[in-house]
Amino acid sequence: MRLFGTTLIYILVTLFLFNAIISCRKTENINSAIKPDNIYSVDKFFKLRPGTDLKVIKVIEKLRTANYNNPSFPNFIKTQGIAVWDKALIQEMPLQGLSNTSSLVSNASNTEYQILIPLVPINDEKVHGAIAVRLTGDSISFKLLDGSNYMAYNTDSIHLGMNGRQLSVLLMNLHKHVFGQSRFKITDSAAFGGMGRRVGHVIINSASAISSIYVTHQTTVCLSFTTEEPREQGNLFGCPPVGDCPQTVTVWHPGCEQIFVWEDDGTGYGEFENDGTYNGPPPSDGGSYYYNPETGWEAEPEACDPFILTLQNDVTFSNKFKTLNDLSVVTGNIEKNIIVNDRVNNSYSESQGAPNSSDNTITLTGMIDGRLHDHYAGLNSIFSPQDVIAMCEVYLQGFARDSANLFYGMTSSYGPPYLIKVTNTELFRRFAEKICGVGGNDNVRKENFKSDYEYLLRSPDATYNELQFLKMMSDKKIGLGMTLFRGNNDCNQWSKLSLFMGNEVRSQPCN
Amino acid sequence: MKNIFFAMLALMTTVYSFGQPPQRYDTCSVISQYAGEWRYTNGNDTIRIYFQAYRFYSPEIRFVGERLIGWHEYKQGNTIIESDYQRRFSNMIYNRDNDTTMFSIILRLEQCSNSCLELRGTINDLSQSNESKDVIALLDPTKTNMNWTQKHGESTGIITGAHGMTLPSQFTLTKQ
Repeated sequence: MRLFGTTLIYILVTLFLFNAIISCRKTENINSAIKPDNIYSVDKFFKLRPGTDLKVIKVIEKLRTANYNNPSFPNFIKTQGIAVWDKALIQEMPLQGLSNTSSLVSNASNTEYQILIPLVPINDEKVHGAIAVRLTGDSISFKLLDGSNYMAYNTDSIHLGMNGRQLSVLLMNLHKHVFGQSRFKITDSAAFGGMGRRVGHVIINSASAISSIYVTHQTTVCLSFTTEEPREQGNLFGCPPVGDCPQTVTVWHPGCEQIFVWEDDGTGYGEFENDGTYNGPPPSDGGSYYYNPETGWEAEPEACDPFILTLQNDVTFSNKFKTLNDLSVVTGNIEKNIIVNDRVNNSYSESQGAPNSSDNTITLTGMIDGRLHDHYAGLNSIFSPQDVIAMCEVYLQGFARDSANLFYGMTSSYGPPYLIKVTNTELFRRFAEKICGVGGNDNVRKENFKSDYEYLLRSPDATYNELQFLKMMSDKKIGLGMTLFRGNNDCNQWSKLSLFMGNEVRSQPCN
Repeated sequence: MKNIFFAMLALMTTVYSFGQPPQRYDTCSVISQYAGEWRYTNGNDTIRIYFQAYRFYSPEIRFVGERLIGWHEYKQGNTIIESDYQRRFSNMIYNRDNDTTMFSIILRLEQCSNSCLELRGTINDLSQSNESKDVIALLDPTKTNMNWTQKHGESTGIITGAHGMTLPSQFTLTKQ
């Protein structure tokens, strides 16, 4: 009897818990369209950035009208990402039989525009897909290009307008436009098939400038790619006909890929109807809609930032920086600052704070190229969270003369001088907004960032701090948006630092 | 039967957990004991600070955290030097894009423990373009006195040009 009672209690508790969990999940389903998270992601999707083209704004308005209250649209965002409107590629396609006029309105109605809008997943750093738009007057057609769908493109290239390789190349080209990376590794041969050999790496060449790659209804992307070729005996430099030499050799091939974005049957494959409505299937599991990050390719690390080479060769800059690395400065008790107002024209402003105070009296009076300062004895051997916040504020509030190359530099008594600089504007903006909020005004985020990292970055061990700083960059998913450089004592030779295997600092001299 | 029960429980927990967004939780309910009014008086100077425990939720950075948020008033005699004290009972809705006017103080406990007596955070200097100052507030063992020190953060005023500090850099608040 006692055993039966215990069993009954177990069963009842189990049923109760199961019911409670199921009930919670049902509630989640019902409210999925109005959860704050969803509202925020939809708002973010349609958020405009300065510099967005008027024709793209027209597209946004159409999509917003059709989808803002569409309960399926948050799931589209989860699976496809956020649109990078200001990086949309636009190409004018003159219509036959219609003459252009000087009026914008007339132009718009007489001309077809082909627009490719990159889609970037919320928590990833690659162009995963694109919305292809055909705009003629008030007529707008949409088509979704889903990078993870490359296998389907291979099997149905006639209906979809391109094969998997062409889809990959198109998205790599957009990735280059958004993130500045041009080297890619092929992780699934199906994403770059049809070449008669396995392709290992691809470089999207700079020669295929975005503005000139279009020929009516056709995109041509020029690239180079590698294949592993059998070694011809005796033909490798310094190798005997047989022996320890590798059996294959990597060969680079030049090539161009022609992509017919609209050469399909006009059905607009994907989840967009021609009126701009997202008409995808409802999520099968009630909210956690599946995002497939696999596109068959991934971006590869870039070489040292070319701007660093410019800094290395700028003697005035190096000498100015070096004054902050003087032993009397870094072992003193005063923070000195050098604002690089205009490096090209040798315009620098110098100031210093009060003894034993990291306060200063600098006020920016205009745009700057960067800022250099010392951390006197007892302060961080690397950039403090407050330094990073300040750099983000300068960036977000429009004080960067060259937003692609804004830099901060610092010296300390504990180790070498360091530089951080923007190396990708899109990624850096994401990072800056993440820790400072849009416009740099979110004190909660700043306070959280400081509390998370102020102790982690305060060790007197410079090597440890390098690692922690790189881990911070990794945690915040800044990717290639900002790069950390370590300098020599003369501040004229820099090495790019990167995190390897999550727990090791790798150094690459910039030559 | 026990094994089946726990197996089902584990299975359901796994199913339920799967697909939940990763979040950083920094909740700390013990911080709420410091909510309420605190006051400092010294001759002509009066500083009032009102704290409220607040749980932040930021969907984009997936952060949930408990903080003391506060409003302050600084008077010299009957003259109010600066104040946002009147906002202390208004509905606090954290606006992720611009929160600078919702409250002027945000503090966290250094360790989420009843025995931790150190709070850190920032205060916005209302008369200095809302430039934030770094705050360390140390409680005495009775938790009725709070020794407040504030200093300029690095890069203070670099954009706004506001390099001053309105409140004294050090004072002791008493719980009311």
